[in-house]
Amino acid sequence: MEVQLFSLLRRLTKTGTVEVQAGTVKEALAALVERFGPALAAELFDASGEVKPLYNLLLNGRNIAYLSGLDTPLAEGDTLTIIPPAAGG
Amino acid sequence: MGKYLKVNHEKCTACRRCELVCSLKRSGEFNPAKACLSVATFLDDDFYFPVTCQHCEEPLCQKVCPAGAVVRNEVTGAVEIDQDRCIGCKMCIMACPFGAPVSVPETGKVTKCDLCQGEPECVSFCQWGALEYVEADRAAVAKRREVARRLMDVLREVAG
Amino acid sequence: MYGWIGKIGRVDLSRGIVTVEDLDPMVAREYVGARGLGTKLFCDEVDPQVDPYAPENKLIFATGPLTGTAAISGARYNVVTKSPLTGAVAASNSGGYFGPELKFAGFDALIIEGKAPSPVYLWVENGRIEVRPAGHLWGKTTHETEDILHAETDPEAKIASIGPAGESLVKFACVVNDKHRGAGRSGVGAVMGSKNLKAVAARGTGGIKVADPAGFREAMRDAFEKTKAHPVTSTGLPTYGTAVLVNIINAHGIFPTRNFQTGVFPGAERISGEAMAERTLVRKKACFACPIACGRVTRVKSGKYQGAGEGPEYEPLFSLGSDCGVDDLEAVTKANYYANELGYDPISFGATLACAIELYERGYLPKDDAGVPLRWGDGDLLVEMARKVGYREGFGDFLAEGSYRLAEKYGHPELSMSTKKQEYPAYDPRGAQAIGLNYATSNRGGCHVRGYTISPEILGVPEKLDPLTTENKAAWDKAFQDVTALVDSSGMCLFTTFALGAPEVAAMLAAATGVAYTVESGLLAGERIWNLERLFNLAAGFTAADDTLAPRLLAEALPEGPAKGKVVGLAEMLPEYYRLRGWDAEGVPTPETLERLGITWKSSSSRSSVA
Repeated sequence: MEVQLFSLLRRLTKTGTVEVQAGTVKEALAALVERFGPALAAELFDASGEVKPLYNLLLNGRNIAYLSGLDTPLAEGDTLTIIPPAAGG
Repeated sequence: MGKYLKVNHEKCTACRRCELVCSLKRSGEFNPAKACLSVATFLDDDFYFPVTCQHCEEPLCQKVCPAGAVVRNEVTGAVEIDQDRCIGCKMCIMACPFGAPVSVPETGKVTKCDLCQGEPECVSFCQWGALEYVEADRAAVAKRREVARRLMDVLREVAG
Repeated sequence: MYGWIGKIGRVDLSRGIVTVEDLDPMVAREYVGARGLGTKLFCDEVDPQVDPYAPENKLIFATGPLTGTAAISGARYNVVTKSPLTGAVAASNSGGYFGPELKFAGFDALIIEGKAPSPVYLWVENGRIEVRPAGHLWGKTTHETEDILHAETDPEAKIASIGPAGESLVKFACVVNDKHRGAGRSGVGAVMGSKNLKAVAARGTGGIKVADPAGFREAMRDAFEKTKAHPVTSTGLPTYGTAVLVNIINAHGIFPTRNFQTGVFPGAERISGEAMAERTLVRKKACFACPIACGRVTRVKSGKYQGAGEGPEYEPLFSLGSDCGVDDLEAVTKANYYANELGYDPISFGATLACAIELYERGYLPKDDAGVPLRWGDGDLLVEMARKVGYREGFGDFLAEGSYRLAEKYGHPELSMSTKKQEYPAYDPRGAQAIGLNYATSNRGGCHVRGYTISPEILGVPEKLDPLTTENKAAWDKAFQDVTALVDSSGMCLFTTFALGAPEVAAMLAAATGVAYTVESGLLAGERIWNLERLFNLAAGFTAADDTLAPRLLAEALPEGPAKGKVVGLAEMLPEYYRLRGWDAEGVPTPETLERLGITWKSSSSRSSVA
């Protein structure tokens, strides 16, 4: 399935989309950290190992906070979007 | 001490907070006309430059002052105008190549940047590091390192 | 006075007379400044039934007590008038450097009345206001105007002006200041043009007194540290600007595309903040006193869309981009440059063009009227119309009326994506319910900044809020609307509220003015301002029936994306909203509410519709 990465994350990953094999969101994040290293982990997770609260993760456009959080299952063809803190008007 | 006020103009965003916190500290009001520095903003050229007192080693303001009011603070290294001695002749304003001295309408005298006695307010409130208060003996090496860092990615890419 | 200067300049353009009045401290305290003060002054003096282009309409430039101070982003001023686009009282907000300079020049506000017999500009300098001929400026762009006036007045003058759009009464013409900033919405620039007022140039060497300098420095230091610590204000906005929202909003399926036909735009990445950072961004830039620096200095270096300026912001990336089906960043950038130079609101323009394209596509708008084929995704059409609308040239004359009047002309007003005739901004509320309620209830028509509930619903700031439900949204809207009215009236920029809240604003207000503002009294002031705007609009003829949305948003479900199948559940949110506001079932503030807020305003109209 596809992972979309926006704005500040691209400075680390040098790309906006990545293909990943994973069964849950948690597994997908682990796969990304394995690929892009500890710098990505430091960006995504806080000291206690939780995803930083200002981060938003979407499964097919729906925030996983309203699904099953990190345990949200992923299927083939899904899109996981990882959004760093940002804003606008 | 050997510290000086370093301007990194490429980091300036033209917000002018430096002017505001300076005038607040010195006069208790917000007034860029009373600030000891100004951000010269050239909109059409995308060029923003904070112009500050350079605290020269051989200050021209001191040289022309007939009242001996311009003195060096031995602790901070700043060039200061003693308000008790200043006679308000404004020769320093004429002599300074940087536009640093600023007249004080209320007293008729002239004042200038004194580096806030060693903790410059403008540096403290500059979000982007366009103003820094750094050791003079380290500034050149630090800048060269910065230049090299910027070239690093490009040169590596070209080298293959 | 502290914070406030204490002076208002009144200019009677009909007779060329200038008077300087004192600012009533009680009015200042209750309505704070900028949006609130401008609205209060306006409502006290203008008949709600007035024709926006009549000399009896007034144009007010108002700053806040924190404008020109080192409060975080203390740059803001408002232009307040009766809008020719909506007929409602409109307070249009702008940053840059003009507002602070007006205060250094010795004025909290300018009240401009009447109509000059021929074009004039105002030169405001250290306590004096001069009415000067502007015949040589009429017809010039805002940029040309500023260049000429800098030479004629003072190189350090800060200038607010209208372009050809304001002169030709384009219904969404705006006031542009410092070349790249604008009081954008509701056609306030057209009112300025109707008065033959080309520009206001300000220059001042006066200061703003602070009641408690040490206390202010402490409150400001605290707010500064919080702004530096928050990722949105310290990294997100400075690095990508508001354009960072393009990919985010598109991922949520609410990026309005082709006149709100859908919320997913395939070309979003090509007009995203990420794309801008790579292709057109020169550097970031800040407004006065702002540590956030969301401004984008940009350049299109070569090609048919070559140009330089600032932006586009997120809003025009939607209105000139996805809403028209255009995914060419350079075309969108060029069209946005036209909007700044010719002086009109790119949101309303793009949305009107999008409406025109749909009317044409459906066969309601004949080709003879359009002059050229109107197609989705046509960058050349976008740029051509962006230039023409500024001069009311050709089909631009049709577009200059705004989407509602355009669609109504061809028998299909329901195709105008607007409320109270003001076009919606860049969020499809079918996938973000709270902003839908805000669009319906905003006192100046379709607007997002009056209650930016996108913040919790999409960005998760201050906390995550499910965008697809209607539960509790009325409470969120009211809370956001009230605190926003306070911030809009203080002189600070709304973008500070990603990191700061009412406590920090109240602390800086109190230290600057010496008035003991608290969170409670500050929010009460916000609520007071909101209700005064409402009263004026009711007296102007608005009713609860106008608190609605375009039929598409209420009845046509989103066809794709995560919010597929959704419409806006306005009927579930609006009654509770009225109740929480202390209004009756018709959306009229009750006497108890008005007494609690200390509002005694009565319409000066001979035909008042307020009970």
